[in-house]
This record gives sequence, C-alpha cells and structure tokens, in this order.
Amino acid sequence: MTSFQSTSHLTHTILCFSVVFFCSNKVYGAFDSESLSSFQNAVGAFPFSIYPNSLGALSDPTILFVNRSPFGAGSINRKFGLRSLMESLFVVGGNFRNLGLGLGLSRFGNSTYQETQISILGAKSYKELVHLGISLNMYQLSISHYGQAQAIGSKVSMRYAMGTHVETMMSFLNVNRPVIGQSKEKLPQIISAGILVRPNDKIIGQASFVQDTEFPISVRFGMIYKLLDQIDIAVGKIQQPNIFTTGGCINWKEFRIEFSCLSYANLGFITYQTGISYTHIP
Amino acid sequence: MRILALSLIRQGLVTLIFHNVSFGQYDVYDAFDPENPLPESDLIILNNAKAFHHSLTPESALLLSQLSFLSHEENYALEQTFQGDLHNLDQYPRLNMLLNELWTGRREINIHGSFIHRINRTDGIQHKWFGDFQFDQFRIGILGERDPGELDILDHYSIFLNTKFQDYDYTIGNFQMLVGHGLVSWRSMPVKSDFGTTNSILRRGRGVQPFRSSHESWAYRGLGWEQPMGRGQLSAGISHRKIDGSIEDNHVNISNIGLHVSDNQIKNRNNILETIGVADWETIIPNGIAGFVVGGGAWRQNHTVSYFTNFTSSVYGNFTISNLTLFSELAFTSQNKNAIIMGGKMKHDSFYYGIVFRKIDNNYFALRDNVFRNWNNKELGETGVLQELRFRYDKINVNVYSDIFRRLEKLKGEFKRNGHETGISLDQKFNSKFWIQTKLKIQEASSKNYGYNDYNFSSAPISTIKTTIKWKHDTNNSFQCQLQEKHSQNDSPSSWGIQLRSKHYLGLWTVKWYWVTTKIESLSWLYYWDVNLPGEMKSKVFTRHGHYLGNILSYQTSPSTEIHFRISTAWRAWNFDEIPVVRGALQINVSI
Repeated sequence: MTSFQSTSHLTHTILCFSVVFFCSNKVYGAFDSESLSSFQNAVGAFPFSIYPNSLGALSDPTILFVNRSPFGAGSINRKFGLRSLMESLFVVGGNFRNLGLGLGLSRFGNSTYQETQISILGAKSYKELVHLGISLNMYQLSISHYGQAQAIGSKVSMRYAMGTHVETMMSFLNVNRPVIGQSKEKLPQIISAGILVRPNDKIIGQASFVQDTEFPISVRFGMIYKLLDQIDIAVGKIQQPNIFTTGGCINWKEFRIEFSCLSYANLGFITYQTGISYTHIP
Repeated sequence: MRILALSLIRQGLVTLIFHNVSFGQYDVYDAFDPENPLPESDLIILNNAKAFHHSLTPESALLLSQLSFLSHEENYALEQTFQGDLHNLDQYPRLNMLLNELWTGRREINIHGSFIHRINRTDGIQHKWFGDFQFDQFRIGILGERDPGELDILDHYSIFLNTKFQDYDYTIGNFQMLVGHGLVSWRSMPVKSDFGTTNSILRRGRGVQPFRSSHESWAYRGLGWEQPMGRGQLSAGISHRKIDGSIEDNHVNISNIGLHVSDNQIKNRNNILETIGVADWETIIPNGIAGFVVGGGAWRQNHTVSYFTNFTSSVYGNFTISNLTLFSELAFTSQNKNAIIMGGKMKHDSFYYGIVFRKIDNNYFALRDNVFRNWNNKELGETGVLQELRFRYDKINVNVYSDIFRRLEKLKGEFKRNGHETGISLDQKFNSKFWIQTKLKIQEASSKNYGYNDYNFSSAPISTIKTTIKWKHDTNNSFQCQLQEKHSQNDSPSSWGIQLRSKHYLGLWTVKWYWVTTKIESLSWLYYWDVNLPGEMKSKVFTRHGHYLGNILSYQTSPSTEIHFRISTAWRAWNFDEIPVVRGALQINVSI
C-alpha cells in the first residue's frame, strides 16, 4: 500500500509539475529545460556562458575559443527540489589549434521519463572580434515501458566583443526544425540574445532575452560582484516565468565550485543547483 | 608621450566622426510623406554605405545609385562618379546632404562586414537580422525575419552572393530586376504621387540587383547576371521558387503580408511554385537609350489544378535634347493586356516641369510589374496624367504637383471613378540653423480608401496642410516641430496634430525625444513618422485623440558598434485616462 501511494504520488507530481513547468496551452514535454550552469542560473539564468572553462560551454559553445586549457565541468540539480525532476550536466572541452572543441551530456528526468542530450561543440573566432559556435545535439527521449525516440538538433551561437566593456551574444536553437517521436512532436526553437557589461573589474551585468517561438519572451537581468579574488556572488531576476535567482562561486586552485538558488515567486518553490569544474593547467 | 597624445586625439576624432554619422536617422527621409511607405532596401543600402565606405568613391557611388528615391539627375550624377567623370556633387543638394550625413569625415577603420539584430516588441516580438559582408570580390548578404507569433525561428530568410568576373556581374540567390520604368519587373514598392515623383518615374531601372528587402515573395531566386552584348548591355535572370499568393483568372496575386501565424496562413505558405525567365537588352542611341525586355513565367498552385503562364515584352527608351528629356515604355502580355507610361521633363536653372501619362489595362500583370499608379487595385486598371512644377522665388523653393486619374473599370454600384491629387510645397532655409517648410495636399477621398470591404463612395476631397520647422541649435542639439491639419471638404471638423522632436549628442550617448498630440475627427487620420531606430522608417497613424511619447537611447560601445534602445508610450485618450500602450525595441549594430 505504501508502495502504491508512493508511485501514485510520484506520477501525480511529475504530471502536475510538468504542466506547470512546461507551461501554456499546449504541453510540449520534450527538451524544454535549459542546460545552464549553476552560475548562469545564479545571475538570472543568463543563456550564454560568462566564464571560460565552465559548464556554460554546453549552452554557449562560443566560449570554447577563449579556453586555453582542457577542462571538465559538471552540475546537478533537482527542479523545484523534486528528486524525480533531476537534471545532471557534464561537459569537457578545450582549445586545440585555434579551434574550440567540446563534448557535452545532459540528462533530465527519472527512471520513468528520461531526456538525454549529447552535444558535440565547436567554436571558431574571426579577427578576435566575433566568436562563432556550433553545437550538434542528439536528443534521446526514453519513457519506460513505452519506447524511445531520437532526433538531431543544432545550436548556432555568435559572440561579439563590442569594445572592452561590452559583449553581445545571439543564438538560435534548432534552426533545422527537428521533430521527435512517431507523433513528430516539434522540439523547442529558441532565439536568445544577450548583453554582458563589465564596467570595472569587480562587476559584471547581464541583460538577456529568450524567445521560445511557442511562448512569450523571457526577459532576464543579473549582476555579478567579485567579493574576493576567489569568490564571486550573483543575483538575478527572470520575468516570464517570475523567478528570483542568487548564488555564487568559489575558485580554488584548478577547481571552481558553483551554487545557485532559483526561487519561483508565483509557485513558491525553490530549485538548488550545485556544480564543479576542473581545469587542467599543464 | 606626444605619440600617445596624438593617438588619443585621433581615436577621439574617429569616434566623434563615426558617432555623428551613425546615430542620426537620415534627414533626407523626413521630406517624404509618411503615408507612402519606403522600400526597406533603401535603408539597408544606406547602412551598408555608411559601414563599408568613408567617402564618395566609385564603389560607394555604385551602391548609392541603387536607392529608389533618387531622381534621374541624381542617379546620372552617381553614374558619372562611378565612371570617374565627376568628383563633386555640390550642385545636387539632396545628394550633398546625404553624403554629409553618411561621411562627415574620413573614418580610419576598415570594415568587411556589418550585422544588425533588431528585437521589436509590437503586438508580439519580431526579430530581424541583416548582414552584409565583403570578402575580396565577393559580397554576401543575408536577411532573416521572424514575425510575432510565427513558430519557425527563421520563418523568412534571404541570401545573395554577388561577384564580378571580367565583364560579367553575377548575383546568385535572391535578386530583383529593375528594367525599363517598371511595366515588367520592378521593386516591391511602386512610386506614388508625391512631390518629386515625376523625376523618380523618369529614372530607368538598373538591371540585376541583390534583393535586400524583407518582402517574402517578391524576390527572384536563382541566377541573375549582366554582360556586354552586341553594342549594348544584357541583364538576365532565371528564377525558380515558391511564393505566397493565389492564381486568378488572368493574373497572379502575390501576397504582400508575409505573416504565417493562423492555420490558413501556414497552410498557404509557399503555395505557388513559380518559374520565371526575364532578359533586358539596352543600348545607347544618339541622345538617349533604348531597350527591349522579354520574359515569361509559369505558376502552379499547390493542391489545386490552377496553372498559369504569361509571356511579356516591352520596349522603352529615353531621349534628351537640350533641357528636354522624353521617356516611354510600352508593354504587352500574352493575356492581351497592355500598358504604357510616357512623359517628359524640362529643366532650366531652378525651373522644372515634368509630365507623366500612364494607361494600364485592368488586370494587367507581367512578372513583377510595379509601375507608377495611384490606386493600389490592379483589377480595375488606371489611366492618368501627373504634372509637376518646381521653381525658386526669391529664397523660397516652390513645388506643385497635380495628378488626375481614372479607373478603366467600374465597381458594381459605383457611379464615380475619377480621382485627383494636388499638392503645393513651399520651403525656405533661412540659414544653416533654421529651415521651414509648408505643404498642402488635396486628395480625392475615394482614391485612398479602396477595398472590397471598406470602399468609400464619398467624393469629398480631403485636404492636409503640414508645416515643419527645423532648428539646429548647435552640432549636438537639434529640434523639430511639425503641425498638421486635415479635414474633409464637406464642412466636417478638422483633425489636428503636433509633433515635437529633439536630438541630443552627449559624448558616447545619444538621446532622441519624440512627442505627438493629436485631435482626430471622423476618418481624417493623421500620419507621422514614428520614432525610428537607425535602419527603420516606420510611420504611425493616429486614429483617435491621444498623446504619444517616444524615446531612443543609443550607446556607442566602440568606433564600429552601437546599441540602440527604444521605448514608446501611447495614450489613446485626450485626458490620459487610459492605460497606455508601451512598446519597445532593442537593436545591436556590429561591424567586423
């Protein structure tokens, strides 16, 4: 009986929060979760990478060109604090002969419903002004006792150095219009744009826009403050959905440990995320 | 130390020069009527000219000569500059103003490409991307657009590659062909009755050009090329693509909307498969130019048996003797529809007279015809005469035009099928800081309200009077005030509007303010240019009493990059007793 209640509770939780989280008039359940590092989430779910050698390369491969050493990074979180909505992200990469290369893996879900994404990442720079990034994604959706399906998607990103203090970014997710499953469910197509401002050595500010073509635009703001040489703290705000974010990172030798907290104002839930990255310094 | 100081001064000058030319929207556009839209390609051409060039050179002259609004003389002057025969454009005030706006000084940055991303919030979010890149002898242009509500990231995209090999000029991808005076193939926007129109109509098309507008169905897609042939020049193109539209009995309706949101719009997207071939050969004759155009096309509509073919040909030419220039184009189609446009102009010092006659059969359709006409409706045909007179009296420039036109077919129940439009403009530049212009336009109401659903049978003319005062306080601050009154000449009350604009340069920042207050009566709606980002030229129609506040904030992040932010607030109630409608836009301009 206890077992039955637990399974029933789990199923209802997944259904309920999937509807809330994936939102709106139609339920597009597949691959709607953004693969962001803890620190990206801390600064208002900034959809582009902030630091080189970090998990941010998974969502924005342009940063791979800036990497000078091989690195590896990973992160784990439970959406809304629910064990059944667990997400884990990993990436390895580096810069080889002026070509940024990386490999990423993300998993989301539980033993019943599982989304897996494997990404091959590449980046190239033009005149040190424009960094172009491409990510080839293999999406795999697996539902136990039902089956699994795959699709191939893509992400094209561009990062432009607009002077010494400002960078702008832009990306297109799934321009190739991938669909998955027998029902040919459309995978999300997302346009993102962002501005990263560094007025001085201590402060970084971000403003970004994320437009899933199925949903209203999400506007995001955030700020990072370098508290000490080894410690950064961040706060941010997401409009649509309404989320307050905060977090920080600690740099220690070749390691960086990141953590973030996303507070869903309308739902009253909190997501905690932690991550770690390691950079190999020869 | 001295070197450091010099480099800082130089950097400062470069920054200042770039800053002043890049943040100003082009004043030359202010003179156009906001009721008549302008081709988007013009703005892209100006942005490219500004980004890629730093002075008037043969290359920049060639690029500028593609602008749609140029007069025949201005176009000829740019052609002469391209050929190296002319180095000074002082006698062409409008060109001179444009060149000063574009390249007030010489920039020292070498640009190989420019890119713009614009996010515009209206009823939804519109994204637009423009790019133009030059790699050695290759020029590549890209354009992408996603309108509000559209599900595809790149609902519309366009790309062209243009290159020159020996005497051949090739354009692969999206291109347009401007041949003759528009009876066979022209831009997506026609010339409309307005001040200076006779001069624009007289201008001949320049053959194959890359397509830079975001019109989703107008471009040819395939290969266009130009080459010397015999004693003349051949421009030819072959195109095979899908377009939005419908096939009617004896013509094809090409959709101008480009929106794919509703189920029906999505279903009808790319619903016509089109194949077109067109060629134009022109040669120089004594005192003029003559040309011959042939073309044909086949259209097939998806999921139906609708199929349509059309063949067309035209002859055109112009002839100049002393101060008199005559021009004409005559076209025939295999649907037994004909069209003719002809006219002339005479210019002596500041005196100018132009006349244009046109007769276009009902349901006339060639390939991409878009000749000068007053009514948008092509099914009823049109004939008319446009005249224009310009002269200078003391320090005042006077411009008068009159267009009288008549439909060739009547609508059911219609008793009147004539229309007229008359305008007079007076402008005086008192000094380099102060300029005033007054325009009066009288238009037949029925000519402007055509449509199956909202056809207006009223024949009472509508008159509009508009006065613009510009004051340039100094190089960093300028102001403009425009008063507008519009009324129907049947004793109905007047609509009034006032627009105040100012522009301020504050170092790396630029601020533009914009305010409009309108008092609208019945259907006498007022049009004003909207608060536009660089590269935009939208007008705004005011249909109710209300107020409108707009603001643009621009920041120059480096000598070749800018960020622009716009916010506007509209109150559609005289007493502000309504929740205002807030709109915004963000634009990022980068160069490499």
